Amino acid sequence: MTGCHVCGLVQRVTPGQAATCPRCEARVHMRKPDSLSRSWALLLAAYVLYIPANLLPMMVTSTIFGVQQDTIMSGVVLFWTSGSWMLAVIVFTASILVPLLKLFAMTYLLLTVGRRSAAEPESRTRLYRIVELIGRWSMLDVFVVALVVALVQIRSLATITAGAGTTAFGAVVVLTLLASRCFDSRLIWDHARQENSHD
Amino acid sequence: MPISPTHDSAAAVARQHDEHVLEAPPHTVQTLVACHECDELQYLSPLARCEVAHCIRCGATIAEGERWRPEPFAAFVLTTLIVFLIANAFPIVSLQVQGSETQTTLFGAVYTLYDQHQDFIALLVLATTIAFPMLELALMFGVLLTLRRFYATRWFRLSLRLIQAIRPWKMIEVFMIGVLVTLVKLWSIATIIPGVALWAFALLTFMLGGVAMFDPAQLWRRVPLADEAT
Ligand SMILES: [Zn+2]
Ligand SMILES: [Zn+2]
Ligand SMILES: [Zn+2]
Repeated sequence: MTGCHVCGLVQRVTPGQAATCPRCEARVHMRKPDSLSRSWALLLAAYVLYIPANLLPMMVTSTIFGVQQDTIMSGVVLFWTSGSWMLAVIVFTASILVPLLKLFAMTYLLLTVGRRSAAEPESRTRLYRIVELIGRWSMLDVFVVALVVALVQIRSLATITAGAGTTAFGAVVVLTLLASRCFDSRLIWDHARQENSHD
Repeated sequence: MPISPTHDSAAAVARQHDEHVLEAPPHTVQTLVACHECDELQYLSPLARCEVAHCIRCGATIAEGERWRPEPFAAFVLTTLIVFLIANAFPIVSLQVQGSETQTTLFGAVYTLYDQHQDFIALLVLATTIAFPMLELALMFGVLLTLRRFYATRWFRLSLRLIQAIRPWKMIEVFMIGVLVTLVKLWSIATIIPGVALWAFALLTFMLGGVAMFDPAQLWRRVPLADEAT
């Protein structure tokens, strides 16, 4: 017996076999299909793209004095040195801490579920909940780039264009969001349950 | 053969409420629910308004009492949709430097990205701040408007599913913080004049918070099972 992930209707489902929910017509599975391998694939892709996301420029500023390229980190440093400490902290949290936390937390969850660990299912579920909650906030810098690029188009003084880093960074955000969507937190409890029944 | 204790009550709700569909379903019995995070099966007593039920094993929120009645909620969704359109129709901010002025709407920002061949980012911003929020609000309004007659139709089921699927992908509140960060960033280099859309977005952020408090599960409870729908 399991609940339909769309409408919540509790119904009997044969493990490994997909059925159609009689209420919402969604596919009902005991567990999300290929949860671990799909999450791993998306997560590894996110790790790979995380490197260009941090090395390539997010914004390219062209002025009469020359061209300046800003990565995520140099943007944070700029806020810090110009005295906007609040903003430096906000942007650092959203663009650097949150993506890293998501990558590491998902890796930890996938590893422990892969090892069939029965330890601390509550705290691992809580960790997964936090990942789901904060994931969207790493889009912050992408929105800032979109607005700055649209506003600073003063031909005689300065124009700002979005750099290739934005695509890589946006892809990291989408991939980590998808990875946490594909992950089935019920797997954490499956092994905890088996362990308890052994006792 | 799927079995479920909610089966009978859902069908009963569907039959009894031809006239008074907008009333809360008569939950006089406990229903069986499976936690979506740990799959623990548990019985759920009827919840009072704004009451929240947590999973006995993992603590996840498994059900919420009705925070909204469908009729006032439909009016609220329509108001939110209007605020959304205002927020998108007017410039968010204007920037003045040495006599020249630039301004942008949200769609203008998306178009600039597209113009600079940042197609993926343009699409991502378009989806998370314009397309998905608007689609959700429009579908939600449609669903609530046709609740009385069409809750047993395929259209209703598909709309509800679509609403739930796009919910995690709309990011107006993140965008709003992005606007504030942009304002501070540009503060030192230019004169910034807030536009109508800036206030509309601030209002919209709070209103979408209110929309998010509506639990689609209360509409699902009205949908009859497939074998009795036709
Ligand atoms: Zn089960
Ligand atoms: Zn269902
Ligand atoms: Zn649970």
